[in-house]
Amino acid sequence: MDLLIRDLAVPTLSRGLFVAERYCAVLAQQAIARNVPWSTLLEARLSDLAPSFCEHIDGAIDVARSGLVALLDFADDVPITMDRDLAGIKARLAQTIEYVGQADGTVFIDTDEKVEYVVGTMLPAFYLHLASAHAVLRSIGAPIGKSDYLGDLGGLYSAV
Amino acid sequence: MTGSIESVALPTMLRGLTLLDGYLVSAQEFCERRRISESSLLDAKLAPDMFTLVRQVQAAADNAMNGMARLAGVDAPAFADTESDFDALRARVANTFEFIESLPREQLAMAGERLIDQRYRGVRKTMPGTAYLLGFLIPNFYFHIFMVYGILLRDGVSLPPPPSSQAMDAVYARFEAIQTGGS
Repeated sequence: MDLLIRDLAVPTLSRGLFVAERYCAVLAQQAIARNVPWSTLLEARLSDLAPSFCEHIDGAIDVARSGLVALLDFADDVPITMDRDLAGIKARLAQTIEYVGQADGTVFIDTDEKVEYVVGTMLPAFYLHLASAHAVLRSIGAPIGKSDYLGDLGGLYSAV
Repeated sequence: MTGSIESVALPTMLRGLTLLDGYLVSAQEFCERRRISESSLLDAKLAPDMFTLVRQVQAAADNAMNGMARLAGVDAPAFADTESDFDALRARVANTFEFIESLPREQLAMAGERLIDQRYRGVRKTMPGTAYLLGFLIPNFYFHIFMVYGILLRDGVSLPPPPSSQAMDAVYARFEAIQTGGS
């Protein structure tokens, strides 16, 4: 049984973006619990030279959108908010989830080159940003665990 | 070969293990350059209740080895988890490469339909190999690799840039060698 490009890309991006939404909600809860501005926690990072939480979430969004553009003959015309506050990031995530949903309804043409792109570039880059956002949250003491990152085991892939 | 489970699972594991080995080389060089003990990095963790760097590397290698063994329907060798320096961790990664490259191709070809019984923190789920690979194995494998990345980045280690196309050429050369039965 072969895996189609859609099977490789769409459930992974959908699930990951939902996880990113959950991480943003956790960050908001942490800001309230600590009585610090959201902006402070959005800029939290593992070291001075490392990307911030906000940059990792935006990185995941960029990988999702640019990845689908690379895989599909499908214009990236779902509008995207550029505001750098928490509301802006949440809006970008919602817009990107909508974009992935639109892509799911289009025709993916499977080629060896596209499989190599997904496996070699898109998935590692996407998981790098998602896992790094998780790492930033854990490093500031947010009460999350790996099950937050993994979500429903295989749930979105049940039809694959 | 487009989209076969082998063409996704094998390059993913080779890709991740190559990244991981590069991180270990950078970490070892960092310790030598700074003249600090390797244990200062090996025992580091991102949060008190998270795995140390050593355990993250072992978990990534275990994921690759056990996950691929389950997909192929074969047993994986057990390791004692006794690594205490970067050379030993790199040897663990090298052993993992070797095991993955030795898996019987005809067994892997049937991995998509093979039912995998996955247990994780009290949840048990039986799923086809494809769902296991995409929904659990790949994200979990990368999780541990990028926790290593995070620990090293936090502790000031300069790490190789994200995967380049040149690096992928080496991964696919290795994958093609597996497919053709080469070394």
